[in-house]
Amino acid sequence: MPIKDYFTDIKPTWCPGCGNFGIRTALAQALDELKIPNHKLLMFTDVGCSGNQSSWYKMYTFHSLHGRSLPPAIGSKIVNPELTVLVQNGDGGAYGEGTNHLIHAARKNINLIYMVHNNQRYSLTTGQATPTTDEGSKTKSTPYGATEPPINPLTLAIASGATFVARGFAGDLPHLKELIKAAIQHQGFALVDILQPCVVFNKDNTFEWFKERVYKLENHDTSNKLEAFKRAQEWNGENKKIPLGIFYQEQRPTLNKDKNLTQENIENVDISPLIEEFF
Amino acid sequence: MQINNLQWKIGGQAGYGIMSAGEIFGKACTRAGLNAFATNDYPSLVRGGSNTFTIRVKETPFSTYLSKTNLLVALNKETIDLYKHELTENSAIIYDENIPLEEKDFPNINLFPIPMEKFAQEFGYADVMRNTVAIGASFGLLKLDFQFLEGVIKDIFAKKPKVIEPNISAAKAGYDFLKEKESHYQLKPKQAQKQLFISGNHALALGSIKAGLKFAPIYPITPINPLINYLALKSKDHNFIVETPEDEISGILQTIGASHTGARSMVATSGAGFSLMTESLALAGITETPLVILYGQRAGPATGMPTKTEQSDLLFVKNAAHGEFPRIIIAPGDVQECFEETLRAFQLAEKYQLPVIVLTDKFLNESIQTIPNLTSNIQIKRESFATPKQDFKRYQFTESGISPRSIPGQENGFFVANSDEHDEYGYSTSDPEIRTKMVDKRFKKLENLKLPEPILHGNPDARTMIISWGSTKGAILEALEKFDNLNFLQLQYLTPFPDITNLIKNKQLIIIENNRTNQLAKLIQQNTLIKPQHLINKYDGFQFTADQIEEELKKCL
Repeated sequence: MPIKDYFTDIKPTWCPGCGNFGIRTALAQALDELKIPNHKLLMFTDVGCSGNQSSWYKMYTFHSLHGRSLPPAIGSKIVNPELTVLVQNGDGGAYGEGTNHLIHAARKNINLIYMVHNNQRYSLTTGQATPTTDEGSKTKSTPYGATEPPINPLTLAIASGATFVARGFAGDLPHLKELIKAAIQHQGFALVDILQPCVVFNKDNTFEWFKERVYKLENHDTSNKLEAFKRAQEWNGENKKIPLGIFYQEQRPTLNKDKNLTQENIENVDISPLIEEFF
Repeated sequence: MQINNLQWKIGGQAGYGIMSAGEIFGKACTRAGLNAFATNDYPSLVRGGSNTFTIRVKETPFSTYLSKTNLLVALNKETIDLYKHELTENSAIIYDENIPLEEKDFPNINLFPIPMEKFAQEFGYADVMRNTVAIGASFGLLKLDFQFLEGVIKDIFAKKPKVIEPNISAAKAGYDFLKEKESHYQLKPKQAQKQLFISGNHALALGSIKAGLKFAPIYPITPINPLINYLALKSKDHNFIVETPEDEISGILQTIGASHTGARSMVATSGAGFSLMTESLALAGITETPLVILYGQRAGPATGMPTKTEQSDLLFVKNAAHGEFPRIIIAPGDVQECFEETLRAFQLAEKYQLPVIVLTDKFLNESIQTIPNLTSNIQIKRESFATPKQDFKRYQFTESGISPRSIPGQENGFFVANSDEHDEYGYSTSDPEIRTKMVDKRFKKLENLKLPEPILHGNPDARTMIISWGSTKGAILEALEKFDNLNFLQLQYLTPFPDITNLIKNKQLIIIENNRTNQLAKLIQQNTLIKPQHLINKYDGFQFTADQIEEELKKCL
């Protein structure tokens, strides 16, 4: 179906030129190509610029608390594995407030898609530094330059047991769409970290800045965990080349049960066999 | 001589099987047609320290204990030092013969040194079978036929058949050792209907299973650990899922997510965990997601006394979370009420689409009580679901405030479950008119809410009235028997607060609470503008005993 059928009529409030528009389009294209009907889609969002999009999708959406988009998604997916569960977060919520949930969702291999709009800023709160802000970056909360090194979401996810770890770029939609499709098709926890320049509050990591540095992983063995770690650390070092693509993927049993538990008859549960042991 | 009226206490270091000894003793009494009430006390550690189980036995139903003990069973010296002062005249101590005691230090108390360790070693397992010898010796002294104990041992160890014979032999050795001794206290079996010996935690768990539980992501915490362990054990055969989330925040949010998706779900916790859950409580409030929380209070603040009991979180639970939204707080008073109120909690949460908190405490959660059965007339059924057509308004403004609910997967049922204020579709809005109507819609649900009336125990015409809530019930009911001109109003539903003005006006009021700050008394005053005359409090980590309440009442009357 046309991608506009995944959207409501409400006009997004994102800034002109925001990378979020592109991510939204890539997601809708991926859903369309995979032919997933709207009512089978359940999307959880965080609080912040990416969080605000919950009202703009024609599907079941759940606008959660800051840092807390993953836990309710986990509950939903466990009781109804027939749903495609998408989770969209910003970097502040994903790698700051909600890091603990990321680690354990990865470890438990919950079968859902975690898309992180990583703009390296708390933008809706006017541009403070987040855990992914580059060392030295001047932001509203680090006027003299950020003093700490940034977190590396990819190595964190791989170390935590994520079975699908990828990085996309809001400036390359065809590639991002393919990553999202692969993530949805993956059986298990899939992290897609998406470089999404904030055109208002991030003057360091702009579209141009990224375009000069990003390149696509080629001839990379995605089943090799050590190699995946190595490639995921390229952006940490002096060499500021930024690889895009799937870094790591493996098949491992997911926590999710096979059964949809939401439709069962609960009116006459017989507990008398359970009571027996208390006599 | 006292027949069928005694308090037995067993104590020893953690790891000696004190907890199972309490269960075995109470179950054997229950099977003998008697009524038992058992409450434990233990420090927060795995080995060592001093664990006790206190069990009272009577012929008639009750749910409390006393400050005085008639038969003390000591697996170590520390137990005797700690609880000697509780012993009454004609009482007895059964203890390991290795513990040196001087008879002159125990006037009017019968001392029964027995070879606990020796028998335990002789029949197999020295460390874990001392308790079995001790229970056997207790029943020998109390003259209760050995068959009751033997039957319970067989059933409790049914899954470990190898240990049945050694335990029975050890128990019998203890039994025979004291069966010829004289005892002021004795137990005689009574013909009676088969009854349950069951804890608050198990009654809560069985209530949730009966109510159609599908998902329980619960982070461990005292006093709800036995509830988690029981649910986890039964989950496979009874088609629900128990998960250990990474923290309580994740636990409540997973519950909200699963409930949003249409599965009956619940979370359980205590004060420390609930403190972490409060932001999410507000999320359930604004998204109108059914949410059941089983909350077992313990002595705070912070880590406080994590294995001791208290009723100090009522106002916290009532006011927890930012912003204003409706909630229901239910406080069961005993084990049977734990079961029934859990059923009610699930029905109310789903029908009214709001958080329902079942507020208990360590004393109620972990105490074990003889009851006829777990019963309830509450009908379990799905509530408030829609068959959505196009243009579905999940948060439709309705007369009752209750809006039709779709669940993810249903065609045409899309909506935003929105932590932002929203319109009838769930779309974010800060329109002042819609905002006001939506807040009103959420609160309207309480206006139509019908909850059972408070229960008035005792003489309805009495001039003086006790008001209390939760696990003080058993002790108050027993103390009440000693006074004519006194009754007891038990409040089970604390939010929304019941309309009790007519019931309590012109009465002398005595409020009894297991806290320091008179939280119920404050609620009464706030809601009725009536100031209670007498306040009885306790906050030492233990629930009131019946005799303590009796003494306190005498001071007020």
